[in-house]
Amino acid sequence: MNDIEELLRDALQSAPTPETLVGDPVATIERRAGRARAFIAGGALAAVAVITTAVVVPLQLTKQADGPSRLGGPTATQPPSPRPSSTNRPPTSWSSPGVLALASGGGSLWALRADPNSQSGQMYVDRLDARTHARHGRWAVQAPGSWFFYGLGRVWLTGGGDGAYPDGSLQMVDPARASVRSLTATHQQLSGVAFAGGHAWVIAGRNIWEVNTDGAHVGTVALPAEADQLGIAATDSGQVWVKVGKRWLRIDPATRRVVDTVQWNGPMLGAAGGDAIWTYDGRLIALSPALLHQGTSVAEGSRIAVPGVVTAVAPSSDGGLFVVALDGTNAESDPTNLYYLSERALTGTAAINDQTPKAENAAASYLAPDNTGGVNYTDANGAGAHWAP
Amino acid sequence: MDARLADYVRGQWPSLVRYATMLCGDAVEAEELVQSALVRVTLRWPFIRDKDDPGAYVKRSIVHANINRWRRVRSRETVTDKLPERGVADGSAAFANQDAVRRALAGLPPRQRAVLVLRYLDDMSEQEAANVLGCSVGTIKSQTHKGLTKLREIFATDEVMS
Repeated sequence: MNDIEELLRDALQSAPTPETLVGDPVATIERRAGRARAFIAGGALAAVAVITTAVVVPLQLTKQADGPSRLGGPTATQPPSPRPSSTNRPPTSWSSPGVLALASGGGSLWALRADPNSQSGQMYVDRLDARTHARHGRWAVQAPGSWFFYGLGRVWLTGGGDGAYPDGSLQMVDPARASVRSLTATHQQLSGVAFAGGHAWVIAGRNIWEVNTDGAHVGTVALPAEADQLGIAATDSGQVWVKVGKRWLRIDPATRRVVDTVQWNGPMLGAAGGDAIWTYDGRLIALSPALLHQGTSVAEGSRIAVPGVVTAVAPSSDGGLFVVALDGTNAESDPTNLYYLSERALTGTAAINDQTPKAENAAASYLAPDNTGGVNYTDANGAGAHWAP
Repeated sequence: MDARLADYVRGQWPSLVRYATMLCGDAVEAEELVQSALVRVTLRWPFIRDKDDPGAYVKRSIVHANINRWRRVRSRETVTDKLPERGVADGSAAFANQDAVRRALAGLPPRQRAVLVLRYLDDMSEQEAANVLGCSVGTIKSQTHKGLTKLREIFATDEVMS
């Protein structure tokens, strides 16, 4: 060892401990983790919403005599009427903590659980009855698994490419064949998944992978961007959009190329009917990104006044919309509520207000609507919960 | 948060911030790095194998959080041969030298910094450091060599050793 190595070792090991600004680190980490769970759920909905049967939002279409149809935004703000039959029932818990993620599709509720006794990252994908939560099937999968989706009749689990698991992983559970297929991405993070054109489109590092229903990687879309990819969503009309930095890029599934770029910094929260995607920009907005070239007012469809940051949305089976939003402006102290906007509320100018049915402080993640107007989700403790507004 | 992780966070918070400060060269940024890493660890806790001793996992996460942060901000970060600030003599040559080395370290590119911290603070082998950073042993060797050479140059320029 020479002089500089000795000096470096001494310098590092004798470095003073800096003063910390955080009073209670555990509380701080828990708050941030809660918000992160909610945002992960929001990303998951980008895919989940595509495969649910209900059309999310009845966007208003105004046919102009001298031009093509365009989205017409609401012109006046009125409070929505409360759901006539609403009793604002509280949620019920149907499992103990340990539900890592949920998704709905194919007439079932899908739950990701970890085996608490496993030393090797053993996890299970459970097929549950969405109302009784009785288990009808179980498939073994392996960590890593952070993002969870249902689409194309299959369950998709992605994760890895980080400090814990250097390589990214995609696992696909095919319930019809009772099989699990997996793909590995060396030193790449696999995360969001969207479904379009009969294939899955998976964020893989700075590329998008095209994966078929056999779980085979069949194509790659290279993105001309240096920033991290922050989300992916498919519209009900089949467009695939990727959020990269402060831009949304549209990729063409047929040519595997980027065919459109728009400036929009909001999150992708899920399909919103037609060409639209739910996003948040002070209000919850059904945005048709391709129309941004014609101006924001043209591209924005339904605009919903909300009390705070929206982290997730999901369509209800009765045409309404579940919304997870902060009730206020202070993310550290204000509660995160789960709201329900009825179809009637959505057809006019919607706003979340005191009349809106809500599950208070639900801190809901992984919204998975059932077929009877309710929604399953994981709460702040990782327990499964159900709410029927 | 699991009780074991909460205990670890409460007990190790200052040393984790110190560790992150060595990696990124800024105490305020270090606290954000540690928070980001611990949020990830919290979210992945069910998958962590050694729940009674999560230290290695947490440190790996901090290293990667720092590298990811660097990737995001690298267009704004400029590596310079100049020390960020001049130290104030405290009458002790040893302390002055150590302080100068730490400031010189802060002037290195983040990946070189990470390699040196892993090798000389954590006493990791080249293979262990390669596993953490997801690169080859050869890369660790070359980064260590370049980092130490750069430190010598900066140090010589500062004439602290003389």
